[in-house]
Amino acid sequence: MICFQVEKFADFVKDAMPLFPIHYSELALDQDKIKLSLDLTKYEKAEQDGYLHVVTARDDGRMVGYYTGAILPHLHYKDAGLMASTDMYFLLPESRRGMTGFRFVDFIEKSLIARGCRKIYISCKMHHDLQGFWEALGYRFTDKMFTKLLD
Amino acid sequence: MGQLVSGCQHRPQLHPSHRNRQQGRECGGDKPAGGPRRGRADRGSEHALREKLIALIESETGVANVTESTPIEALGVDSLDYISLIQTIRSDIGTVSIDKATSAQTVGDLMAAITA
Repeated sequence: MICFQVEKFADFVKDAMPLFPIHYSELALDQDKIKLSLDLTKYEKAEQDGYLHVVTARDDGRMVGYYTGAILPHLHYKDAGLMASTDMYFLLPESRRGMTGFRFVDFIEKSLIARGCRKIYISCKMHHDLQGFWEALGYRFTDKMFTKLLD
Repeated sequence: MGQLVSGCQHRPQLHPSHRNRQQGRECGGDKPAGGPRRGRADRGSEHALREKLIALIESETGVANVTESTPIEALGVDSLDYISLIQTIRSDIGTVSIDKATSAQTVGDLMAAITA
């Protein structure tokens, strides 16, 4: 049974370590030039400063997925309340069956609301297009992001 | 760090019949125009709707012997596949309540989310 919970970064990261390379391999771009290298110190600092949000998915205790985001007032909508900028989210492929993805997002939303968030920003890769999934959950397709390697 | 990586679903490996239907309708026939709403349907048309939905689910997922008590998880679909299935149902059968569909535990629950 997959369960979801808000966790401290330290508890999350020690069990999520085996998942990061799988996540990176499946979705990261420019893997020949940009290697996976989590800045654990900065994550810990973000938690100490109170704006890191970590939600995990565990199957009988085993880590099978996670969401991390930063909860902050928006730089140019500072009076609009807290907003969650998604850092990353992932479920192991074998844990994606049925309603797990929907349940996971539902839990994430509720956990963000509990922290006073009024808006969430989240994206997906063009090569793993989740537009239908997000729109079915009430999300609007509002932005297109462009990236370019400069070296 | 920005967005290191994103996404919680792999690109769905849809049953071939589903891939086919993206290029042209293959499953389930056309949506009946102006038919009675399900709440006012007689038992015969309700039964036909159930048969049509189960046939569509079996066709889309490749799973045989689907019944109303079949768990959604047993269909072998992930969330993205499930959304595709809902879109097919919308196209071929009728309106689907997303809230009900995404909280469905069984095929019977999914049926309850449909208004033909």
